[in-house]
Amino acid sequence: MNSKVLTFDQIFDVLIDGILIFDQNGNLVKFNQTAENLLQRLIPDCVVLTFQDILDIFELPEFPQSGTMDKHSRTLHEVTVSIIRKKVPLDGNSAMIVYLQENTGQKKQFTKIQKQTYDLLWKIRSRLTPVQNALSLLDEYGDLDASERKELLKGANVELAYLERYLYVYRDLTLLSVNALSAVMKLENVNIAECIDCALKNTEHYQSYLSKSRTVSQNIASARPIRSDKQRTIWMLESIILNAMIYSPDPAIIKINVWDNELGVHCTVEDQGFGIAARDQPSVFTYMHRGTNTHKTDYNGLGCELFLSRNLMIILNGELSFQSNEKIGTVFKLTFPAGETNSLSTD
Amino acid sequence: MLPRKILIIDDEKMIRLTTSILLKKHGIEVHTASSGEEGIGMAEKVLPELILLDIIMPEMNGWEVLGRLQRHPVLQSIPVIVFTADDFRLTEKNGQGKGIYKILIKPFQLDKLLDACELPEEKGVE
Repeated sequence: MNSKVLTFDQIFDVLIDGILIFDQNGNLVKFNQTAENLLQRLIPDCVVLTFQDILDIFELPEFPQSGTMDKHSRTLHEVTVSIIRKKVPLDGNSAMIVYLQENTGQKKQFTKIQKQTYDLLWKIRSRLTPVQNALSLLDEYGDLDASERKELLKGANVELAYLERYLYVYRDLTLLSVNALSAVMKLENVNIAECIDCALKNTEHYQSYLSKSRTVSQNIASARPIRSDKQRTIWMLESIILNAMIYSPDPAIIKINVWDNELGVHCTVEDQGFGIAARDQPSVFTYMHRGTNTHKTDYNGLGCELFLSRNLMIILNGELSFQSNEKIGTVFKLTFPAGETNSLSTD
Repeated sequence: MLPRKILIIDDEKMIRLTTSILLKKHGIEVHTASSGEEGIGMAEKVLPELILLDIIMPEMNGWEVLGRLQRHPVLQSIPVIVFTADDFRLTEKNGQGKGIYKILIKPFQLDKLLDACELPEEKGVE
């Protein structure tokens, strides 16, 4: 992986909730950047050293002796803040965590993504069943005929390949849900032609899984690097190429074009497949949306790769869009900010 | 007693494949459908003794299929085992009155599936 490995402190610092932790004596032992920023904005030059300071700032009552958690809402300088106090065990003693949440739409948005990401775990769990069962059948039933064995093995491999992709999606959606995805992305000058080659190579084996061949033509009319996260660019291209393969008749005919202009470096992946039904088009980037005709293929997606791709492109200051006509095909277009020439990543 | 005829309604090809192979190995006639609509049509045609139904499917989900089966004059008496990966949402309350015979949480093992398919004596064979 090219991505940075985040330490706990770094994750702690990109959380959208402000957090302050007080020890059993009420002394502040840890806080994150969000809490500091919020408090500085509400009460410039304030210093919080003890739990009592928080009580004074927000005019909170004493924490009830028998309580474990309570929640209050206060408005200071037209900013409404929710304050959650939670008693937790820490090193054998009782510590107090104070969460500060500014009431903004951002909190609501990330809470929604968190819930949806949790739902994804169940989807991943469900994909384990066929892998586990295929391997059990192969192990326990020696009298399976050759075609059954072949189909079970192939199916298990496909499911495992999908699982690998889903775990990747799960990781990035989890980071997105705590507003930490941008912090782990490694921005560098990347050669997009190289990313396309990697994505094509990494998706080659799906031809066997899908029992479908593919013909790919490329027209790379730009040598400008893009400013992007290389591994995630490859992953997004793989995702779009896979969709083109899955939702095309055999053989899948795919055209990839790259060019640049003053808006950035553009890459289109075009197929001549089934297209996306007009009624599904407004929901293509909606989390967990699956097109109404997608079950007609043998391979189901999770409905979140395009959602994640669009969010990745937003973080990259780029854009992901598409055009599609049923029975004619679909074109996905990625627009990346241009990077600096002569400073390409070499890994 | 295992039923003689089972219908599997699941949009996941590999679930249909692995479940079919297992049940056929135990002498059961197996029919499969990849969507709710197709499943109801197939049920009317083959009249299975048991239906294995996935809950999360596009277009018509498992709950809608259960509702249609419950209202069907002929199919309403067929026991239904539901597959789901979400054991939080599928509470007893959700299943109440919807004709669920048993619930199988994914990932499930094949022997658990066979155990679940056992019907009371009057419904099965042997």
